Amino acid sequence: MSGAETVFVVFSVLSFAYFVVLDLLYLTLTALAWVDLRKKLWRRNYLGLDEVFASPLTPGISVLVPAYNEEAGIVESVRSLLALRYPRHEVVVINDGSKDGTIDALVEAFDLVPVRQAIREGIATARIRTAYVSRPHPDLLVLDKENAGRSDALNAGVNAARYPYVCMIDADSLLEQDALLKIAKPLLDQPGSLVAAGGTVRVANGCRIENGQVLDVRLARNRLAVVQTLEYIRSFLVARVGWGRLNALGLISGAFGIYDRALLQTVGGLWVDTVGEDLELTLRLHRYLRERGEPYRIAFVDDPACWTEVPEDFATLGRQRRRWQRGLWESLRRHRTMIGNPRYGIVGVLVLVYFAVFEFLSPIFALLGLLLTAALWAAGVVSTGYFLSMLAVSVVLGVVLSTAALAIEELSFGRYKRRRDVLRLMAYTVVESIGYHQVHLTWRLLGYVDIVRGKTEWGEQKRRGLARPTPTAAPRP
Amino acid sequence: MTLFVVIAVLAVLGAVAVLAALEHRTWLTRREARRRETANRLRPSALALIDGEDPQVPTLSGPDTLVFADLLVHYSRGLRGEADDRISGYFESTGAVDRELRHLHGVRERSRVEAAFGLGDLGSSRAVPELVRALDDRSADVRAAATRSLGRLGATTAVQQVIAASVALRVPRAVAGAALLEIGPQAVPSLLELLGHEDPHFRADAAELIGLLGAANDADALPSRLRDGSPEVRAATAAALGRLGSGTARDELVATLQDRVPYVRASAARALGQIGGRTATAALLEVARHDEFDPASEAARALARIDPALVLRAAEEPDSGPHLLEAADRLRL
Repeated sequence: MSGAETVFVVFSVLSFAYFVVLDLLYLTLTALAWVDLRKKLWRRNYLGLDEVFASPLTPGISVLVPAYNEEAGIVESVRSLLALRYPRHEVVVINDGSKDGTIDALVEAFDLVPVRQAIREGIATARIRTAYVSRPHPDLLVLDKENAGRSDALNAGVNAARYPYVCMIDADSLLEQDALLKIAKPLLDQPGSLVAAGGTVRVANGCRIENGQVLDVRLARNRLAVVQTLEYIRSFLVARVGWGRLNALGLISGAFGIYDRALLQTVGGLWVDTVGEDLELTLRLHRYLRERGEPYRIAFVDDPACWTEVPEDFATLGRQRRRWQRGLWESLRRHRTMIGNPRYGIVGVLVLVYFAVFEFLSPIFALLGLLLTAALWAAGVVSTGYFLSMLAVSVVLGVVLSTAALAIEELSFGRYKRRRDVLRLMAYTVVESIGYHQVHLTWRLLGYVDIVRGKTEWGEQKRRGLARPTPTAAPRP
Repeated sequence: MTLFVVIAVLAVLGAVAVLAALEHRTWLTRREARRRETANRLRPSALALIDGEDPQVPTLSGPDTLVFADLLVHYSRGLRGEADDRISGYFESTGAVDRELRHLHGVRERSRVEAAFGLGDLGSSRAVPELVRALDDRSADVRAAATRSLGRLGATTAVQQVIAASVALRVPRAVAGAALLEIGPQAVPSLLELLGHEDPHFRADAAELIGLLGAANDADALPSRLRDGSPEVRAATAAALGRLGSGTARDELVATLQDRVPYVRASAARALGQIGGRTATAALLEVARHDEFDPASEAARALARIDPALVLRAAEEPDSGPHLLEAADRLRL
């Protein structure tokens, strides 16, 4: 064996080990999700949501909706948010300098009147041009501010929020009627310690939607949307539930999460100079609270759902995933002291290491390692048995994990009522593992290019990343 | 090679699990459809029973009995008084209450939770002593369900025990609080005692619940808590005084506007707005103009309730500050 061959074989073996560790981790998360499901399934009937709704002790929540060029859907979206089943909530729409008629549509539909609204100065944001309140809806506040990106808009919303908790969502996603009640339930059960909670994000493509509500859950026709549906199920109902059980939730999706408002102001709100603001914020909260040794909990609640539209073409999806990779890099760089640091407990030694090794570096091992092994096998350097084992741990196990996730979804929620839809999802577990996953890893690999280029083109990148291109701002699964 | 076969077999098992889950789901859907059908058929009889029109309870068998019970439970959640009594009478007559009481002592946690939760909906006060005992169950879910049910039954005799379970951290405070709110004003004397508890969380909860349940004369015990060592208690006390609307505490609340903790000042300002009376306006005006965001914002809102004309005048002055401007604009809506 030549020197180069030896290096290649060592790298291939390393990749093999990488897959084995990753598989064991995912299998553990799946097992945890299964245990959680068994524990929670029947308890759902005894949550007492009616009592939560009726109780004067239920804390108020301000729903923050950043809007950039959302003229088409914003009115319907706000209407359905105002009608959410929750005893005390307000809706704060932050128009992020839209170039279309977003503001005019809102003024017209809700009879908005400009007021000199007092707004906290806690987090620095771009200038707010006008604040509007609605005559018929006292629980609606609209801020019209200069364009500075989604994070800046949300920060302005945090400054203006009236209630002790804020719920961050996207203007084009839909919250289910009971979503706030369900996500607020842990606030009542563990008052004081819960600082943030994330809910499930589901794929809305293909569903029948009327008046801002999902009426009929269907699977999209578009293949890419179907694969993402599966990806989201696996990511939310298995991975997040599993991490949540370990009390190590590393990411609350930007599309649906609630936060303690005062804490957000203390830590300075969302970081506006990153495209991975949701991940960065979750990590920063962990860091801030752990450095102070304060007892806290960041929870994942699988029951409440937010429906969002995902990209249906390769170009848009590719851009989104490359952006996530860049956002991941920015978050990891900012919090690099946490990586593997026992001072931050399980978040440091497990979650950050997972993000760094198994997410950020995944293209190197999972894609290049697999390709290299295939090449070595073709060249007769490694045995067929080894190559098949590599395929088993890299690709076939993906099918195992996805089918397990799908079974958990069917047993726990069963949102997809049509037999055909479930069978199609099952067939796509193969497509996802063989083909889609590798394409996904290629996008992540290209993300490295963006990261390197980004260093020199920061100004331009910053503008492009922050102005929210629709509909790619969908949350990462 | 072996690894490949093992994982491939796992993948096939995964697919089988999905198919099994799908079958299960289809079965559940069909059962649900049948139940809905039965419910529609039985609804008139259920309503007749609730209205007391038809003392003859229909003879039911098997699954019909369960559906009928679910219907009654559904209605009982929104009812009080005689109609509720008729529902509990029905459940007594069918032996459902006895059955659930037996399940409350079952071995399986699930059946105990179901029984503890269900007894609240069956409406029989006979369940109260057993539910009180269930507050010591080893499962947190049984304890929470029992607490909720004691609230649903309006169990005035259980107030002390519910409070004790909450204080012993055996039941979440919010669950106990919600149950006490359902039980009503009879919980107030025990809550007044709780005001002296050593843990500030419980003193604050007590003050808050007294504010929600108490009458004006219960307010007399509260003002001393405005000088409590814990800001949480001071804020909750101010909020309670505001809800009770008792004018006797006005001066003490005005003094609380000088508290060193902003959210206590905010709470005092809101309370003064609820109580009303012009003697507080000068102090509120000062807070609205110069204090931090939350107290100033509450003070401006309070002033808008007490004396709108004053707010409109004050907003014209050069040192009005953002909160009075906002309050004035909102008054003009």
